Amino acid sequence: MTAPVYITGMACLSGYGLTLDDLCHNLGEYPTCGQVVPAAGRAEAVACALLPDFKESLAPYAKPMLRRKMSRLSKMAVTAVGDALAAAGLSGQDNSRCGVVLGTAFGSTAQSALFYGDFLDKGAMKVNPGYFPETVPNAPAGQISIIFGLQGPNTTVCQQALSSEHALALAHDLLVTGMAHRLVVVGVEEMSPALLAGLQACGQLQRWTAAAGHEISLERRLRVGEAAVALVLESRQGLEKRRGTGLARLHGVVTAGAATWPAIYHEVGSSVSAVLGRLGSAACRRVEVIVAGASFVGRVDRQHVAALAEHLGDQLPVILPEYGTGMLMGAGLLRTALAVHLVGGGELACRALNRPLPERFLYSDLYDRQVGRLDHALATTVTPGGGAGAVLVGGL
Amino acid sequence: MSRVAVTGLGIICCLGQGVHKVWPRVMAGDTDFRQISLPGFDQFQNRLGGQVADDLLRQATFSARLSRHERLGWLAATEAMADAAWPEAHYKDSEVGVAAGIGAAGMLEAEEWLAGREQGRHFVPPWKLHSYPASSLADFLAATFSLAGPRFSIATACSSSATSLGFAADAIRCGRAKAFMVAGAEGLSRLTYGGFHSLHSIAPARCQPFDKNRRGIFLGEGAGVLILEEWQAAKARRATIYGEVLAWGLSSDAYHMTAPHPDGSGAVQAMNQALHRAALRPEQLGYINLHGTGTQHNDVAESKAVQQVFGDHSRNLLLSSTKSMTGHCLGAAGAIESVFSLLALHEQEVPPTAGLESPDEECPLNYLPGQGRRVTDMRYVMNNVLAFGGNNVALLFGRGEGERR
Repeated sequence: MTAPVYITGMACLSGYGLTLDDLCHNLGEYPTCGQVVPAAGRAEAVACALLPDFKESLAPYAKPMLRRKMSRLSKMAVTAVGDALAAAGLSGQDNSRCGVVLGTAFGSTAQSALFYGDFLDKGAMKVNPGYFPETVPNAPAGQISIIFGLQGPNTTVCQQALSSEHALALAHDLLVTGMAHRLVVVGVEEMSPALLAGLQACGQLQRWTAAAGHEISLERRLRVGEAAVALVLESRQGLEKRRGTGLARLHGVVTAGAATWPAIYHEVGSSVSAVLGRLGSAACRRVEVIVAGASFVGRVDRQHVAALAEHLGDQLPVILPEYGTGMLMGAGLLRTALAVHLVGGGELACRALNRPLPERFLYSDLYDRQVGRLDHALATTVTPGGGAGAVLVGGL
Repeated sequence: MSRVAVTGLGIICCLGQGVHKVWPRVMAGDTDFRQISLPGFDQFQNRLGGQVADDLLRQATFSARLSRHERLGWLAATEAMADAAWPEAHYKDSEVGVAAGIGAAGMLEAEEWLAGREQGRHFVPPWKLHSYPASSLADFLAATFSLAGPRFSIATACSSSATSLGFAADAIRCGRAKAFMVAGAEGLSRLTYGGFHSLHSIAPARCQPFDKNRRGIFLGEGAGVLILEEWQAAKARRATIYGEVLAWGLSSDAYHMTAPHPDGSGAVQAMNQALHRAALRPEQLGYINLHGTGTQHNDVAESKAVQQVFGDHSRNLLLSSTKSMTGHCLGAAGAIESVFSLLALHEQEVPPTAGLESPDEECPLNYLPGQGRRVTDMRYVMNNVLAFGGNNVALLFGRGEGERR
């Protein structure tokens, strides 16, 4: 990468709580993706990680009148952005030249189901027009721009589990081509009853059994969770102009391959190889810790870890946060946030890449040591459709 | 940074399939709006729109599980690849990306699934949901044409495919890829039609952008596909170059979810950004394909924005809204209108605005009513696309080598 890009603020709402600290403190302790969540219609309940109530966190950013018009997905995204701007020291500043790049796999499925359900119930002529605007996937980015006065570039990218990596890549290009000096990158996914019912109908979700408790089962299906994560990215020019300080430097973002079903498992290894190849051998040699995505699909996750071990060294420490949060789909920016945490002086529980992932294991057995205070961290993910993404961040 | 050439075009809309069929009709100011005949649309009192002819979407090669927007995207992509005389041996698979822009993606099919469940049907085929994710079009096209480079799907409502084109061009400039297929595709669905209908945005009888009597939009469906290549690589293989993607602008109104800023300030910012990045003076521009939806608010705000950016030159600029002939194709609009902008540049003929009969004092520019016109030495054109959420995109195209700087 040519022009340096800095991460200057971040925030995260996950099943572990409403701050990044909540996530980091509890990630090694217990999984949150065992909550029993009802899906829409006749679908069975599923195991999934939902956010705790975040009404109070949203309140400073959106007035009650506006909150009533917003979908839950928009509320999640707005809260994360407000917190990230505050963390970057940008609350109350003139952010009119700042932009938004948002990644989400599905957008607001709850709002689409609400609007279409109204259409079916009342008929075309009596449908509530207030439901419609928030059905579009870019509604959260629109609300963010309105609430925080961000008049810079504004876009929404939907590429399933690679959405966050693509959002980072597009934001990077906007910064290095000079189209913006400051951007908020958001990764957000809501696990609505409609989405859960849809995923379940497609045979994508693990069956939930109370007896399983905190046991992680790697089989052929997903266990999912929701999150909203925001990072503030700035060019050197933008950062120097306001005399701000950064948390980390974004060294590279690469993506490859497909994002949608059906699964083509044999491509996982080659897509990881492709993204690491594009990242470059010099960059790969700098990697000291990996924050890897996890889908709960055994063959995908094992091939992912094996490919990382093969290319980067099997002794490297790895953190697999989604075994705690549930697979986050478009909210995978959480992995990059944890990588930034690690190069910013934070610590997290980890395991070595060469420890094989068994079919079933207790979450408490996942990690066996601490890692942190490192210079370079890599966040990676693969999609069961054969895609992969990698984000390299470094200390300042 | 690398320059970006456009070497292949493909289009399908209510006016027909293929550049050779659609462009003459557009230049003639032809329209083909009808009562939409898709299931469930009979609930709407007024259901005029730009529906693609059924026979075009019933080809034997299509899998029964392919969604309407994927079929449209495939037809336009096949034309664009043939038009580009796509040289498979010229690029590695990993050097060619796919950037898609969609609005409602596979919503029409997902609606069937949801309705079936609501009605308590015992079994609703889950494959009806396979095209619901916004990423399905990009993945489908990449798999079909074996394109393994970077792949992304933009979902910013009406500006989706224009934004995809801008980011794809930047990805080539930044060295992420050597070439890109940029696709915008939109199939009509009850959700989007019902949404615009509920907002009273749909015109009752005629779509008349910039006319004093305009009453709103007509929704349309279709697809536009453009093949982008790194300039030197395109020249090396002697490709036909329709034009160059010079620069683009992207901004947000930060004003309202569904209404444009009354002064068009976001559109001003996007147009200025594109001109600035291309190092062009406003008076160098010859034509703008406007967003021109035909709503009261959009057409006035966009006209004000053009006047603010181009000053006195705005009176000389040729402007038109091709939505007056294709309908508003939402996620596909940016790609379809980029195809028209590049054809205008390449053919040196500018399309008209259909249905414009009574000038509006608040829209005082030259919107080219009636039929298109021939021009000479038109070197730069712009495509303006605006969207829900206050998104504004301005794409700037030039004729290519040797004509600037």
